[in-house]
Amino acid sequence: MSSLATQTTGLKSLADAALLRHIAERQPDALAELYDRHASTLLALARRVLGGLEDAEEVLQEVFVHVWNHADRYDAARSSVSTWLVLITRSRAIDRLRNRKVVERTHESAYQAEPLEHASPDGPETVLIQERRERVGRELKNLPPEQRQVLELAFYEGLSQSEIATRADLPLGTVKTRTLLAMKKLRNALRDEIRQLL
Amino acid sequence: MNQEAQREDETILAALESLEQGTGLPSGPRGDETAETLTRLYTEALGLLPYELPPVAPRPEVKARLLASILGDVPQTPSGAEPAKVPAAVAPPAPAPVPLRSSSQEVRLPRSTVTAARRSSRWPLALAAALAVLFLGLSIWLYTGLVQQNATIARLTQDVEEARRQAAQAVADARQAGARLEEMRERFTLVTSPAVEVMPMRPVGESPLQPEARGILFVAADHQHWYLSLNGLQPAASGKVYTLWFEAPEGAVSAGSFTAKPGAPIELSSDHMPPGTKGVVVTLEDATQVPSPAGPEVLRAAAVYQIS
Repeated sequence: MSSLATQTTGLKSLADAALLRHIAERQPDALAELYDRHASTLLALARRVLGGLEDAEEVLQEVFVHVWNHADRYDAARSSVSTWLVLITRSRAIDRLRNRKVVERTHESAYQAEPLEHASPDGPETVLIQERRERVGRELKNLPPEQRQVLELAFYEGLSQSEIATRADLPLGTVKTRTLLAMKKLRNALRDEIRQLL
Repeated sequence: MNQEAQREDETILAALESLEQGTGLPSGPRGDETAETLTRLYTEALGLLPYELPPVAPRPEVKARLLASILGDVPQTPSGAEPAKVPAAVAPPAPAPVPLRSSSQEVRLPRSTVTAARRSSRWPLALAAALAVLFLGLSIWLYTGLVQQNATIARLTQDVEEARRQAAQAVADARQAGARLEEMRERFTLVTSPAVEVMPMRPVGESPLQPEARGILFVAADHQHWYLSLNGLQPAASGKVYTLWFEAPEGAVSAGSFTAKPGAPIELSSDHMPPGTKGVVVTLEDATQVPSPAGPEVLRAAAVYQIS
C-alpha cells in the first residue's frame, strides 16, 4: 500500500484536535478529513439559518477556509473542535443572514421549500457523529415546545432575549425563564455527549 | 434561589449573550474556575444543537473548490523532491489552477464560487439587459440624428426657397430694367430724332395755380409718338387728379390722369396723339372721370419748337 493510503488511514484515526494541529502545519488531507467528518452537520446548520443551499455552501467553504487559516487559534480549553466549528458556522451564517436583511425569510419556510437533495446518511461521517445525532435529536424532542422555541430563536436566528420576547409576544422574564430551563434540561439530557467532548 | 443556581443562570445568559454578539465562543469570567467550567458545559450543549438537524451532504464540487483554493496555499515542493501527496479521496476532480502562495498568506475563497455559478446562469439575463440598453442607446442616437437631419433639411429647404425667390426677383428686376431701358431708349430716340417738336409747358395766367410747375412735351415727326416730362407738381388734393388733355379739332381728348409725389418728376408717353392736335393742357380734375376739362388749368404748352 502506498504511503498516501497509509497517511489517509492514519488521519482517520486521529481526533479532531489532532487533525487541527496537522491543519495548522498546512496539511490539506487533514483539512479534508475534518471536512468529511463535519461538513454535513455544518451545512445543515448553515442551511437551517439561511434557508438556501447555495448560500449555506458558501458559508461552509468560508468556515473551512477560516479553519485552514486559523487552525492555530483553536483553544481546546474553551470548546471541543466540533463545537468550535458549529459556533463559527453559526456566526458566519447569521452574519450573512443579517447582511441579506431577509430575517422574515424564516428557516421553516425555506427549509421546507427546498428538498434535501444532498442528505446523505451514508456519507463519510463517523459512527460517533451518527450516534451523537440520534441522541441529540431524541433529547431535543423531549423539550417542551415553548422552551424549544426560545432556544431555536436564539441559536438559529441569532435573536436576543428581548427580540425573542417581541417576536413571541411574551414578557422578557418569561423568555429568560424558558431559556434557562431549556438550557439546563439540555445540559442534563446531553451530559454523556458533553462529557465525550470535554 | 440559592447562589449557585443564580450563578448558573447568569452563566447561561452570558453564554447566550456572547453568541448574540457574534463572538462565536462564549467566554466565562477568567480566573473563576467554576464559571469557566459552567460556560464550557453550556457552550458544548449549544454546540450539540445542530446535531438534531438532518445532515445535508455538500455537493462534491464544494469540497473540490475548497481544496483547490487551499492547495495553492501549500508551500512548493523543492526541485527534485517528491511532490506533495494528496489523498486520492480528497483530490478535487478538476480543480482550477490556483497560483501558489507563500505559507504566511491567508487563503481567501475566490469571490463567491457558488455565486459565480449562479452568475453564469444569469448571463442570458445580463446579456439581454445589455442588449436592451444598447438598443435603447442606439435608438436614442438614431432618433437624435433623425431630428437633426430633419432640421437641416427644413433649413436647406428654406434656403432653397429664399434663393428661388431672390432669383425670381432678380429675373423680374432684370426684366423690369430691360423694359425700363427699352422705354428710355425709345424716349432717347424720340427726343433726339430729327424734326421732333418740343413744347415747353408753363403755368397759366397771372396768378397761376402752381407757379413752380414746369413741363416739356416731345412730339415725334409722325405726330403720334410723344413724351411728356413734368417737374414741380404738387401732390393733388384728396379726391383730385391731374389730367392731360390734347386739344384736337373735335374737342379736348383725355390722354390720361395721374397724381404727383413731392419732388418726383412725372414722365408720360404714348404712341398715339389725336390728329390735328393744336394744344396740350394739364388740368386738376375730380377723381371721377370727366369727358372734358372742367377744373382749373395747371400747365399749358405755350409754343412749339422744332429741333432739326
